[in-house]
Amino acid sequence: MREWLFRLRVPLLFSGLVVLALATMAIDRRRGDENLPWWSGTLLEVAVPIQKMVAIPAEAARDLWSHYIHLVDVRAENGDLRDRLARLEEENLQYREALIASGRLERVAAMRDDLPVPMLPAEVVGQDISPWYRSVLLDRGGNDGVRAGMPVVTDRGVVGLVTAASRNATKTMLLLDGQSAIDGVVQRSRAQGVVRGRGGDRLVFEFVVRGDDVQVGDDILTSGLDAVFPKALRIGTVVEIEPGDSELVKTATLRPAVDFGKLEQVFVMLWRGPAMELLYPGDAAESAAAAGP
Amino acid sequence: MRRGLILYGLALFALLVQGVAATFIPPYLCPDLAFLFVIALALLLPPISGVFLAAGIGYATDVLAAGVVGQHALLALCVFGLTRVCNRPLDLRRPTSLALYVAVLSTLTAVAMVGVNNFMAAASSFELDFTLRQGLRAAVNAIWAWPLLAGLQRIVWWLSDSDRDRRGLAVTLRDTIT
Repeated sequence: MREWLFRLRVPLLFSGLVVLALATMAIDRRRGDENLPWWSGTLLEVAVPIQKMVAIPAEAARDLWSHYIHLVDVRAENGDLRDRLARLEEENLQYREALIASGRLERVAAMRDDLPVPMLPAEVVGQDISPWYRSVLLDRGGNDGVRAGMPVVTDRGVVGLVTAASRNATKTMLLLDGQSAIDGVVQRSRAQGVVRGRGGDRLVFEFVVRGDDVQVGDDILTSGLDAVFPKALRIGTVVEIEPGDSELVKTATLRPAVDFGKLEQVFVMLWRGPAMELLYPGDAAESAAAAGP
Repeated sequence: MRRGLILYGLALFALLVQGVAATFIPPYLCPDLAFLFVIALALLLPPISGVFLAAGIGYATDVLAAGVVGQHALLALCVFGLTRVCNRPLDLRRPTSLALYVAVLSTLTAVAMVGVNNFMAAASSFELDFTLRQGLRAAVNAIWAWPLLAGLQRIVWWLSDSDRDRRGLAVTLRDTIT
C-alpha cells in the first residue's frame, strides 16, 4: 500500500491541487462578502509599492526616448538649431502641459460640483497581467474608504467599477472587460440600451429598440437605471451602427470617452449604488459612513 | 526548498513587471510570463516541486488579475501537466518545437478561458479583433519562450544544491544545445 502510494504520489498530488483549484473557484463564486482573503490582500499590498518602483525606471526610459533619442537626428542636421529647438520644445511642452492641466483641473472641478459624491483621487499602478481580462490596480484601498462596488471615473467619463479592495490597493474592472455591462442612454434622443465591454478597445451598445433614434456621433451617458453608476456620466460616442439580424433590437459600436491606453489618474467615487449595497450587504453601514452626508 | 522559494519570488517579480509593462505597451504585445514560467518549470524541475510552484504562480496570477480566484491556478496546473506529458514526444527542449508548442498552447488556452468566461458571465468575445490579438499574443509568447527557458535553466543550475541535481540539469542543457 505504502509503495503503491509512493509510486502514485505525483498523479495524486496533481489531482489534489486540481481539486483544490476547482474548490477555490466554487468558493470564490459563492463568496458574498467583498473582503479579500488575507493571502490575497497581502499580495496586493506588496504589489503596489513594487509596481510603483518598477514604473520609475520604465517612465524614465520613456522620457529619455521621447526627449533625447528623437532629437538625435536634429542634432546631426544643425547643432545650433537643435539647442534652440530643444529649448522651444521644452517650453512648448511645459505650456501645453500647463494648459492640459488647467483644462483638466477645470473639468475635474466642474465634475465635482456636478456630482454630490465625495471623490478620491487614485493612481493606476499596474494593468491586469492576465490577457483575458481588462482591469487595473489602483494605489488606494480600504484605509481610504474604498469598497468593492464603487464607481471609478475620470474627468472624461466612466472608467469602471471597484471589484476588490485590500487596505491600500484596489482592483478595478474596466468598462472594456468582457464581463462589464452598464445601462446607457443616448444623450440626444434618450434611447436606452446596455453598454458592454468586448475585451478590446471598443464598447458595444446593445439591446437598443430598433425604432429608437441612434446615430453615429451620438454621446452615450449612464442612465442610472442599473443602480450601480450615478446618472449622466459620459461612457462613449457612437462610431458605427451595426446592421443586426434582429427585428426587435439593434447594436452600435462605441469609442470610449476615456482613453484607456493613457490611464494614469482616476477618481474613486466614495459611493455605492443600491444594487451594489444589495450585493455587499455586510458593509453597507461602513460604506455610508465613508461616503459622508 | 531554497531553490523553490527563490524561483517563486522571481516569478512574482516577473508578474509585477509585466503589470507595469502593460501600462506602456499594448497588453497583447506583453509576453504572458506566468504561462511561460509554468512551461519552463515543467521542463526544468522535478514534478513535485514543479507542480507546487506552478499552482503557486497560478494563484498569484489570480490575485493580480481579474476573474474568479482559482481559474488561473487551474490553468497553470493544466499547462504544467500537458507540458510534462508532451515533452518527450515533441522534444520541447528544441527551440523550434518549443516555439510551436507555446504558440499552439497559447491559442488553446485563450479559447478555453474565453469559453469559461462566456459560460460564467454570458459574455461574447469571439470576434475578429480578439482573434487577431490572440494571434499576436501567441507569436509574442513563442518568441519569448526560448530565451526565458534558457535564462531559467541557468538560474536553476546556479541554485541547485547538489552535484546530482546539477548533473541532471547538465544533461538537459546538453540536450538543449544539440
